[in-house]
Amino acid sequence: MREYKLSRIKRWLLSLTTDEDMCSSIREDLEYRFTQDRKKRGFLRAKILNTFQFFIIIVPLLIESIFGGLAMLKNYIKIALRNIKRHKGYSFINIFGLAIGMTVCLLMLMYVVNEISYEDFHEKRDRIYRINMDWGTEGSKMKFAGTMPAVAPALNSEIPEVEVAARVRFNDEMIILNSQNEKIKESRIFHADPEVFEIFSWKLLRGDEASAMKDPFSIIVTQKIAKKYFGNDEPIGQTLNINDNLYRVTGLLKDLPTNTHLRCEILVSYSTILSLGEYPEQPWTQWGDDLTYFVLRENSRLNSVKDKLDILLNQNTGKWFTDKMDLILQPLSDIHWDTESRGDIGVKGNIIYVYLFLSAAILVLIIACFNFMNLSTSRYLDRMNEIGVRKVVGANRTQLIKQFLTESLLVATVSMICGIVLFNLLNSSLYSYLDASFVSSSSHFQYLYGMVVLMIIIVGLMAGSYPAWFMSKFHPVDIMKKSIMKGSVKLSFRNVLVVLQFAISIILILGTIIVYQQIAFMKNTDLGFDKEDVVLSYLPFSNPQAKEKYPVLKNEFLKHQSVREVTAVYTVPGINSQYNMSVRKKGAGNEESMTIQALPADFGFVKSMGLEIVAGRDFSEEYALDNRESAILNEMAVKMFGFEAPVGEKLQIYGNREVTIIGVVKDFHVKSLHSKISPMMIYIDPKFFLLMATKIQPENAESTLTYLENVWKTILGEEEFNYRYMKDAYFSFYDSEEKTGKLLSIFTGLALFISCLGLFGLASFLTNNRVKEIGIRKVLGATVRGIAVLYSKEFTKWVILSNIIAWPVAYYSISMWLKNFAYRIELTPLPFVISGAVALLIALITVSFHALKAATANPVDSLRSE
Amino acid sequence: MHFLSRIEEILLLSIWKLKDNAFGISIREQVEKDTDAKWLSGAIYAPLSRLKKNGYVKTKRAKGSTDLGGRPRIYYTLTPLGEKKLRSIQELNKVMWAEVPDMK
Repeated sequence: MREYKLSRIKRWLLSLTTDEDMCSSIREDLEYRFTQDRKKRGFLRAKILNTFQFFIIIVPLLIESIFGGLAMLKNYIKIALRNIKRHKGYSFINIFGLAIGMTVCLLMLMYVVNEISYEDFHEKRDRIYRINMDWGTEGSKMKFAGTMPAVAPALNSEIPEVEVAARVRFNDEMIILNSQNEKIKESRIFHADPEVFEIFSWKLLRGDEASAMKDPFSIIVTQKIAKKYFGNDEPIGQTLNINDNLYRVTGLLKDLPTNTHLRCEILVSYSTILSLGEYPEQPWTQWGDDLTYFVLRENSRLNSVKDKLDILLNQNTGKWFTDKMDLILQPLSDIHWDTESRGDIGVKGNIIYVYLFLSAAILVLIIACFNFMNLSTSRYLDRMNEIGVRKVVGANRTQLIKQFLTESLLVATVSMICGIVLFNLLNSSLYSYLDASFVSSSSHFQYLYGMVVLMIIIVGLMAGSYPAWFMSKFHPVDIMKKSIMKGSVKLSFRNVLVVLQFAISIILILGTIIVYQQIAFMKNTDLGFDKEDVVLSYLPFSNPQAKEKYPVLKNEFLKHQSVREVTAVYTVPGINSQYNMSVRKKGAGNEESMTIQALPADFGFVKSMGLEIVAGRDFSEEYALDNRESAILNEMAVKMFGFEAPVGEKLQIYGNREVTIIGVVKDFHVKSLHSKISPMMIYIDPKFFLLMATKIQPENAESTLTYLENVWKTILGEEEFNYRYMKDAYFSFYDSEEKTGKLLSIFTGLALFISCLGLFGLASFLTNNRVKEIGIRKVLGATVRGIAVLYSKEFTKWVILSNIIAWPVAYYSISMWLKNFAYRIELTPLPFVISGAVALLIALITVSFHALKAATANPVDSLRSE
Repeated sequence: MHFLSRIEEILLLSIWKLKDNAFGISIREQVEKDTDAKWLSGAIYAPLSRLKKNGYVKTKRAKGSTDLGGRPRIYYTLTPLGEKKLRSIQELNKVMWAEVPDMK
């Protein structure tokens, strides 16, 4: 039996509260009780019980050592509660401000936790790697997430440093027949080698890990899929019709958490692919996009795997292959952040957003804490009598500090309770407003409890520290003589707080403005094509006849008077797929070939996209050769090849096919403005048609679409007509920026609101302090306006100081963010000035309430008592 | 005169009863046996440390090797002050109960 020892942190906590001998006794007792409980109740329950017992011991000891007994703590809490009750409005502002700050912080931290916890449930996560490919010549390399099918078996048999390797292949949508014979589309279907279970911590609830994925046509389904297709029946042994093949269910997989890139719902045995005859044999030169994962043996070096892999690659392929191919070993934890690799799967994260959220979370919490400090200290006059009496009766400073910290911890706890209520109300609606997918997994809520406790302690101590220090420092004689009431208290620290608060708010305002400016810029930039009124519809993958029927569809579509152009393409702006091809000038050697983005399209492409031809001509059905041997380049491609007069030049593409350049179009953005326009070649090749693009008249679009839908259904036989406007598809590239913008605007609003609460409190403090001064000024003839201006001047000074602090910080972080975009706005001074002005205006409005109150008051009231 | 709390009184008595065998576990078990307070019995350590701080109880480390992974077991005994206190409590109780009529 393993010797049980009290964990180090518990021992440390104990040592804080009591002396060494007591610690030793307690330790012995707890360890003894654990061994007893383990015999009776098992390890896990004994462990939980042990923690519980630990708390029963430590809590009284803590109270004893901090407050000198329960009685004192009770007293502190009683006074704190009385204070909260007596000043309801003030307490409300204080608690409400903190609660908002905490809620916002929790919401953002949940996002951050979700992002950074990707793949962390795999036990071997630190040793799992994926093999990616770099393909292409220098300067035009492309990254691929997958690799050749031959790699994984070679890793298993040839490289001893690899513990195990397996291939996973992601499939497009497949059609499944359910028990009512309805066709249901499922994505998230993966072909996988049986070894995946040795790599990933996927839990099989039924079935055998070693054998379930061996035979062709075996599948493993998740609980969700099993429930969907078999209800409550035993899934093992059932059959499922997928794409007209029958599969036998051999395993039941526990539903996977959402924070993984491999979110499979149906696993199909890899041998099925071979049985279906797709890959009769797998030479190394057989191109593939199998996601290949392997586990590095413990204490092995990654470099030696890489070296051996390169040797294998050399042996099995030729120089022409290895010159262009580089295999990259990518750690599992990097996959979530890898946005470059083609053919990758899963939701991608952006580390910039994680930093953004994390810093925003901390900033908002800091603002809320500053607020608390400001409001608490501004009320110190109310507490002076209490403090004075306590001191006279014999309280020392430590005790007073403890008292105020108890108070702030109590307020923090109450705020946190309100915050959790708000969090629960807001999280689902906020996340759906942001259209985010990250909260569905309840597994993150275990982190939430820890964060809640930690946040109470941090906020309580941080927010309470300054008021506790400040209020406990006065000498009782001064308090009793009321000498500190004469307004001689220095405000310096609290001014710093207000300045920082406003600096943070200004940074957030600036961020919001710039994000929206960039979004507007991206939406209004001339993209080089006409994005309006183009309807996109995919030719259904699952229906092989659809592609053959395209010419018929095109003819029928064109019969409607509102349809201007119909074309079919491989990709259009707004569709995130790219087909790259290596191309060389006619007669040039293999080594001179260059990578170019190929865009297979049909006649009418140039017109329906509204592209501008700068040289030569468009494809035309009048030229017999156009549908095989003509190509149109964009200006980038012309520049890359270095053609003086491109029209008439010949290029060689794959399979020694030769095309003649018939025209050049002006550069246009196929991809989002995040990336630069790449060299491109448009040519006609029906093999690659994936979707139809139909340009219609903007008038009566509804009826035109109904017509298209009817034609579609008649010709393709009850296929659904799923269409999307190209404009929407293109703008969806900027979803994440829109999300950031929305989010930032919410947080900016909140931060400003909380800052104003703080300023309001401070202004009220200042008025109280200067009532007599203002009274005397009025008696001597000052006007209301004069006093209000005098009063506002001070705040103006602070806000301007905030601007000076905020601008460089904002400038730096915004420049970082803008680097995400290949095409971006220039930073002008205007947004900086605007954000400063907005902050100033809001500050003045907040302050003016008190300023006017003070200025209009009758001086008799304030001076009578002297 | 300084009064002890009820739990402090019980602890003093338990240590006295256990004589040479009063250490953490045995004291706790004694308290459990005498009072039925099973769940919260861990809370004795706070008053115990208070008793020690106030000089009613002292600790002493067992000599020789123990089975506690090298750490000596800590034994608790009453100081003369503690014994005196216990005796005065007994006196007080006697006096108080003497005048109480028979309770049925």
